[in-house]
Parts: sequence; C-alpha cells; structure tokens
Amino acid sequence: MTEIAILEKIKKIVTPYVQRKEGLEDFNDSTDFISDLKINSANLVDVILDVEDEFNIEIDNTSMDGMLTAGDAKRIILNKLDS
Amino acid sequence: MIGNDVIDLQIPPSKNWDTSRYLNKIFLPIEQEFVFQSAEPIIYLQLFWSLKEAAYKAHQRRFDLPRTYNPLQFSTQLSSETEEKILGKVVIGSKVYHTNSIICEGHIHSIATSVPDYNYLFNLFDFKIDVKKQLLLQYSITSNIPDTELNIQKNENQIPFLYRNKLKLEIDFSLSHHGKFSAFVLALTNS
Repeated sequence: MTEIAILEKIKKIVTPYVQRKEGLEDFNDSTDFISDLKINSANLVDVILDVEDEFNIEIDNTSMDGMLTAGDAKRIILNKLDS
Repeated sequence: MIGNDVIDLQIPPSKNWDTSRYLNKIFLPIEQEFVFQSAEPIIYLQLFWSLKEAAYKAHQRRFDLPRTYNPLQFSTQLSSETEEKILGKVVIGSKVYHTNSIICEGHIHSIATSVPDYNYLFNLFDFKIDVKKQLLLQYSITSNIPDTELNIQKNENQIPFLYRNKLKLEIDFSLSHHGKFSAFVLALTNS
C-alpha cells in the first residue's frame, strides 16, 4: 500500500470525529488531530481502534503515545505492516 | 499548577465506551472496576476521563512537556463524594494532583491542582462564548492591567500563556471547552 493510500484511509477514518472540517481540506502528514482537526481527546481512542480494524494491526500504548498527527499515524501503520 | 476539563453530557461518549478494547487503552483495571461498580457507569467513565484530562493539563504545564497521549499513565481515584463536589487524586509517576469535580445538569467539570489548598477562581459558561476573552477580562480585573494590553499565546508545546503586550506573565490558568460548555480556571497565587 502506498503512503498516499494510507493517508487517504486515515483521512476517511478520522472524518466522523473531526469538529473543524476546514482542517480536512489540506490533509497531509503535518495535520494535527487535536489542534487542526479539533478531535476530542476522548475520541482519539476511537480513531486508534478504527485504524486497528482497517489495517488489521494492533497499536500498543507506546505507539499510541506519539500519535498526534496524520504523519505519526502513517509511520506507525507502516511500521506495523512491515513487522 | 492547575488544569481543568469540562464535558458536555449531551454529547454521547464513544460508541465503543463499554468495550474492553476501548477501556483497556485509556483506563487501568482498577479504574474500570470502579466505573462499572458505580450507579451510573457512563457518567463515571466520563468523570474519570475529565480527571485524567485536567491532571494532564496541569502536569504538562508544570513541566512544559511535549504533548503525548498516555492516559494509562494517569492513575485516578476518588476520595470523597457529596452532592456538591467529588474529590479525588490523579497520580502520574511520583507526582500527585488533587482533583475537585462537579457533576451537574448536563455537564461534568473537573479541576486538578498540584497542591491541595490551591487558591483559584473559575468560571463556567453553558453557552457559546469566547472563553479566552473571558479569562483576559477576569485577569484584567484581578490584576488591574487593562485588558487591551493582555493576550494569550501558545508555546511550542501548545501550552497557552498570558502576556502583557510582549511580556510573558507567570500566571497559571487553564481553558477547556466541549460542546456548548466552556470554562477557565485562574490561579490567584503562584505555585
């Protein structure tokens, strides 16, 4: 799967939780889930669960710790898909 | 140091809230046990979340930490409950934060402080309002500095600070909003 395809899937996953829809217009690696998209912190877990389901991976707590941007999520997914 | 969190109970929590996959990522086993033995698990779940969030804000501000998402490192317990307030503690590493929460019509509001008798004032709004502006107006009254000279800027860790023109002020405060609610807490002494 290409990085662009992964990013597209992440965008689709986060969309239902986004409270600032303009933040989705220029969705890229540096898009911040909380400051750009205003996703509620309690919903970040839902994003993580949806990512686990979509990519069939398990995101451990250490990885979850650093999942603040779309780029972070992409790197974590790529790492898990590789291992 | 101080942090606060407000939760609008009109907004439903996660659709996954009662699944173990969800719970195991954010709550310790002992916290889950407490929540599900309570009279209203769905309310207590959100109360515990607000304690973690309020303590996280106080802790991050205290040590100027980069943002992280590590709710399992914040261990939460309640110590007393009355109709007026719910007191508790959140422990992260060797640090303890003292919490004071209220569950009211439609919302939960929690404040976490680094010492138990911390002098602060707070204001909670149940309608859309510019809460930053409200904080500036309040601080202007408290400090006798004209509000036109005050502003709020975030640092590189996204922590907000009060400024008088270009001078950074060592004033503790915390902002929060969720749904129609917003709140600020403002420390009246430095700590």
